[in-house]
Amino acid sequence: MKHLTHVGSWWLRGTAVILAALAVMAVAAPVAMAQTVTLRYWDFIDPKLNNPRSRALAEHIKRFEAANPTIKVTVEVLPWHQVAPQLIQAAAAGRTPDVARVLIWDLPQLVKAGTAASLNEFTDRWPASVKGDFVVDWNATVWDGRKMAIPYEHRVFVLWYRKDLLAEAGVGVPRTVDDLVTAGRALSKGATQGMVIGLSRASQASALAEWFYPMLWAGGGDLLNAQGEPIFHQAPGVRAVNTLAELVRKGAMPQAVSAYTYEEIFQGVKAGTIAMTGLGSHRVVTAREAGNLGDKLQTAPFPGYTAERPAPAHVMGWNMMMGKDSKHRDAAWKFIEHITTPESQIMTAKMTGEMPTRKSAYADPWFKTKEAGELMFWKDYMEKGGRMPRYPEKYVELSQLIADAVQEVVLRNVSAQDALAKAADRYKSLTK
Amino acid sequence: MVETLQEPVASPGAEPVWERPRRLPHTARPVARGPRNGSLLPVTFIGPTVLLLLLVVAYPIGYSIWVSVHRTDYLVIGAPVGLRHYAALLADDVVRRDLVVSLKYVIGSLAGAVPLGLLLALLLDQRLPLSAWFRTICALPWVISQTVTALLWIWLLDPSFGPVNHLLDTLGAGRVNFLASEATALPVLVAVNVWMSYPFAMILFLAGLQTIPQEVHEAALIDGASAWRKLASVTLPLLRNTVVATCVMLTLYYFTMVTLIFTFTGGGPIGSTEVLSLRVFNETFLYWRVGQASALGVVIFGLNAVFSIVYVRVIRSAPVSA
Repeated sequence: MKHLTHVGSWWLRGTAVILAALAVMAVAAPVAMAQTVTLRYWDFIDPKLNNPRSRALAEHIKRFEAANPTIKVTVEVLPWHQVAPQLIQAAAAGRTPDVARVLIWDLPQLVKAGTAASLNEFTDRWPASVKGDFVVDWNATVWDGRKMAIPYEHRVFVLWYRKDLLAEAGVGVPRTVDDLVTAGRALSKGATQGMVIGLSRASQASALAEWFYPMLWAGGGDLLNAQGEPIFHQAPGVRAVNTLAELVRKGAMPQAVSAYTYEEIFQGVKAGTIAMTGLGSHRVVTAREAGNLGDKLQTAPFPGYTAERPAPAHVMGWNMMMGKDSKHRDAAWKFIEHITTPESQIMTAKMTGEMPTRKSAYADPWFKTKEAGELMFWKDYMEKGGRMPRYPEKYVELSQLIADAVQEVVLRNVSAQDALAKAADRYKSLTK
Repeated sequence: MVETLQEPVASPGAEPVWERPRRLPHTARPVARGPRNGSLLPVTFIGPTVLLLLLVVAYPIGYSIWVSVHRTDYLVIGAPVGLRHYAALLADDVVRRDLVVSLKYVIGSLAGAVPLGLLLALLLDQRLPLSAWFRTICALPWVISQTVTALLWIWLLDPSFGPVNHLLDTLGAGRVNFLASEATALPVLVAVNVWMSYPFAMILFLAGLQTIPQEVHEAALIDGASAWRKLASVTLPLLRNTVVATCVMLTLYYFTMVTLIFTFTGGGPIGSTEVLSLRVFNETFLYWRVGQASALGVVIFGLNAVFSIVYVRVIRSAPVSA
């Protein structure tokens, strides 16, 4: 009986301890959970994959969560050209993510569609020195006095070329359009395509945009005038399109480019079947790694009409936007601020080759090393006449109209003047 | 329902003479009879189905028609504008072009998928060794998604490294830019669609063939019909309803197809493969002209309804005779 009593008392004590612990958890857990914020973040980069940009994003999130233990970031991955359409639909449903990575050329449409939240309550606290620390003008992402996004990375569109294939063919790096024709013809052998510029209207006609705008500016022209009216169909635009058509007619570029998208060209470079192309600086590191190309893949400024003046750099990039329905604005802003600080930008540059958007980031000693040489070359190209256009609201449609016009010139031998004029008329009818 | 009896009336010893039937007494009750008290039981059974149909079919169609007569600003529905969107569609030469492309696409795909499906169904209906295995192989293209189908064929047809062009080059025909040429892009798209969708027709025809009684075939054989005569005069007439039903379903499917075309050609080059359904997708999710896109969607709905009515009238026309 004494033994049973002794055992019984242990049972009672144990049960009391367990019940007390459960009571504490029942009270503490909701309190703890209430303090933990989970941010929904939309990106086209999957942090779980093993490539430079995925690893960089994973590192950003890890560092942010370590510095902010009560904030968790959940990444929802979408194809890059679906981010904007999905955001507009999410906004209509009142379910935008807290933060989203958006392309600069989608921003006007997203702002007009009311998907983005103004960041003024946060950026108004920034001193002028911080606002002036951005590489591009502060007002590039301001609409009606409202700051709608913070630039996350920049890229310039450059000439990608295979150093080894050029050496084999005995041609130098093209510095003019004529050089491009010569080199393209020399390199077009067997399965190798000498020069490729994608003309497909798919994927927002992004492949053509990378080349067309620099050539348009090289000729002294522009996409739209200050009133938003199309002027791309004037002489500089005609010259740019005729240059491209000449590349095809003279055998430097295959006619198959009419169907090529950005991604297909990238895959062709990785596969080693494309000797030269025009793509963004942001994917060079990835292409070298994925295609085992090493330093065989190099970059240079886009050839212009004369050797002394390469085509102006087309500068663009991704930005961080806060969704209008975010219920955790402070936490969302902390994430945006974290990922765009000079320190984070330096890390991104080292891991991915994406160019920082903060001037002060370039003061880091790493940018003086040999490893950063190429990135600094792109920065130099960007600073010497690089341009970031003020994209119109109907930018995607405009790009596709231009792509259709260029295809007409290349495939149907229609005059560049007529094709571009038709595109300009159609754009005017859509925007009146 | 009243049952009647016939009762012979005759004189004793004479042959019975059958007279007009007379009604049974009221004590005889019919076997099956509906409830008299207005029970809601039938409504309870069919109600959920009707509700579901209203929700997923009638409501979206009605909403699209409503949106098509309103101004829209992205996804915000504005003031009514009457038939302005429809008038804009009629005046748009791009829409007219897309309609022609759609008709070519649908008719071309039907002309390929239906005969191919029928031929394979006739072959697979034979008692051949490994026929079950062949049926599985033949049905495989149907289980591949449209996106994968498009990506697969993009690779197969690539002018630089695709096997099709490698074969053409080996045979001395040179390389062909199938997707970069207006002359070849649509025919190739139709061919890919036929490759992807013929199994659907094949399976329906195979099922239809299995319902033809064996005795009919035997009777034809006894009558001395040749294989071709049997096919033309026995099999095909009895399969007519299945063929028409298959054509209806494939027509609706082809007219509303987006994914394959979006991934394969994006509507290019120069809009030569842009069908109306792809235009609806672009107008809605790329250009955000939701009102006009809805109007175009209603037009497609109307075209599909017309095709369906035509097919149904064909079914109801001359009776089948073997």
